[in-house]
Amino acid sequence: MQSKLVHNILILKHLYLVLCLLGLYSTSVNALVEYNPTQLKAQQAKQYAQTLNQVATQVMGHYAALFSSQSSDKYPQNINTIQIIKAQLETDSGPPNQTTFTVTIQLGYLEDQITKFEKIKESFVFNLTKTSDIVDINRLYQHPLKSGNIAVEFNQLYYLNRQFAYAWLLLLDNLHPINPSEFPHSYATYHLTIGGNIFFGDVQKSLKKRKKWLGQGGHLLRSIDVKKTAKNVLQITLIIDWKGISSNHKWRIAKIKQIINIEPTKQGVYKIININEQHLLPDIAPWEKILC
Amino acid sequence: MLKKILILLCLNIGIFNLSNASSELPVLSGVGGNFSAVDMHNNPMQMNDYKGKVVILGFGYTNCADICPFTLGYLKQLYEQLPDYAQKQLQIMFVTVDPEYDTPAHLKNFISHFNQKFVGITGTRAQIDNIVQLFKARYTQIGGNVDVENIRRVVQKQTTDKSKVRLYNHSVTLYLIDQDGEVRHIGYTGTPKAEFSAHILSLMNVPIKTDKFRMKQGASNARSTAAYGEITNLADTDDILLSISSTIAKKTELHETQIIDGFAKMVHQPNRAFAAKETLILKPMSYHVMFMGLKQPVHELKTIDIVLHFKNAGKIPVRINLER
Repeated sequence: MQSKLVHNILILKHLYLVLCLLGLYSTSVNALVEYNPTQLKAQQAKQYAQTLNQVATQVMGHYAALFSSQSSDKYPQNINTIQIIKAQLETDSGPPNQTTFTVTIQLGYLEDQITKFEKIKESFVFNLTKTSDIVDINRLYQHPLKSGNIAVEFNQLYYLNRQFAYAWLLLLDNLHPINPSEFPHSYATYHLTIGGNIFFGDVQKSLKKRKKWLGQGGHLLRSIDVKKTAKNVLQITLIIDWKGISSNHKWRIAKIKQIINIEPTKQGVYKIININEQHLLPDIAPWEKILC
Repeated sequence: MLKKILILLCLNIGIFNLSNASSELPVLSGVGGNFSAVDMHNNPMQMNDYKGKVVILGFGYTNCADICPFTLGYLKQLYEQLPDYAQKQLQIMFVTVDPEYDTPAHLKNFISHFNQKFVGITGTRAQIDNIVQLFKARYTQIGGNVDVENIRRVVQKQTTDKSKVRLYNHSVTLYLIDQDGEVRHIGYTGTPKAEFSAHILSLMNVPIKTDKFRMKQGASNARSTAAYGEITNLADTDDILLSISSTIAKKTELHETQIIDGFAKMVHQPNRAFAAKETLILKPMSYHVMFMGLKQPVHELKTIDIVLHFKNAGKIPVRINLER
């Protein structure tokens, strides 16, 4: 009888402790959600964009480097085309602060004057620090293809352009991991049009001004179009989605069009000449472009 | 036992957190902004003049035989379905893409066919193009000029009118703009009115909140019935519930069950005062909405719509769910 009573008291003690802990948890979680759910959403958007853009910058840089690298024993020599067939970001598996990006590629390379093709599936393991360096590359499979057909546009420039674009998005989110000397923009002009608000200045000043509308959030690349406009000038047109909060704490979405003129240097560094940004009507309704 | 309690607690926390999920309408960055133009009363106006109001802005022109009359008809119905407090906080704005023909007088005449509280906006071609550009809208002129007698339009044609007019294609988007002048949503005539209304109301200060309204379906031959729920005055000032109306009964009133001389009596409570932030719970043996002289058997219905008439907040529509 007495042991049953002691047992019940013990259960009640445990229950009380659990209730206290749950109460604390519930209060803190609800306080966070109730206090500012919009801020939380903006933080999540920023986190997601940061991870994706850091990973993409590294992967694009990795593939761009393969075109000029002659020493990698993991890949064939004399690569002239690489096409990404499939890519998947896995943030939930593995240890904390690590993420895996699994990529399937087809590559073409020149051997004995003949173009040969290979299919490779590999996973890049990233350490989610400020620079998100690649800590490991696991080869999942690699096999030759009897025949292949990869468009010539999937060349080194293709990957350098995308490496630049993703790194640029990190800069817009104030997370640029690359040394400014490798990514010069100090003399570039930035023309910003957000509705009736027009601003013209250098990159730092325009980005600071831009924070009023695009405060905390994340930029995601939707499309990239590159054309050569002069002998040594590339015009990169980016369509970017942004979501987050503005300085007045309102949830905000943007469809951003940026036209960036750049001058690639001989060292492969993209020197920004100017940026022209305007905000378009976000794609939220299929009928929004209809005219009657 | 302990396990069960823990599971229940965890589930409760999960549900509570879900119920806090925000459904805030996003600001559409870079869409809209301040502009100068002329209203249909021939007064110069700026979009900033409407700060503090929720605005629905659409483009069109008075000679439009296609979408414009439908759009304004849609907006008229949408506006009339809104509670009084929402109508007071809302401005519907029709911006012409044909400022050469659409003088303030033409616009006023056109708008008067729909709702006199709507405002027509015109101006110079440059002013209109600026508005179109700000809202990322588009318009194009179709073909050449057309004789007035050959077009179908809302405003009656004068037999002596031999002038030529232009026809346009234009964006059909309706922009929902908040009190700070920021575009928060877009709709068009195909957007269900209930959905659009919900978005409009989500931007407004709601003075009266109603919750948990319910009613028993009752017997088929019942001549009276009652409904219960909660009414909260969210405003910072007092208000008065003047009356209640419905279409299902000859009389719909707020009653309170009182014990008088040992008998429970239902006493009509007209002009019931609501202190600021007060919640009135309607429940059996207390306050309730009384329906007397039912015009149709309630058991055939799934929902009943009533209107609460407040002195300050105006008409507050309430949908009551019927329980089996």
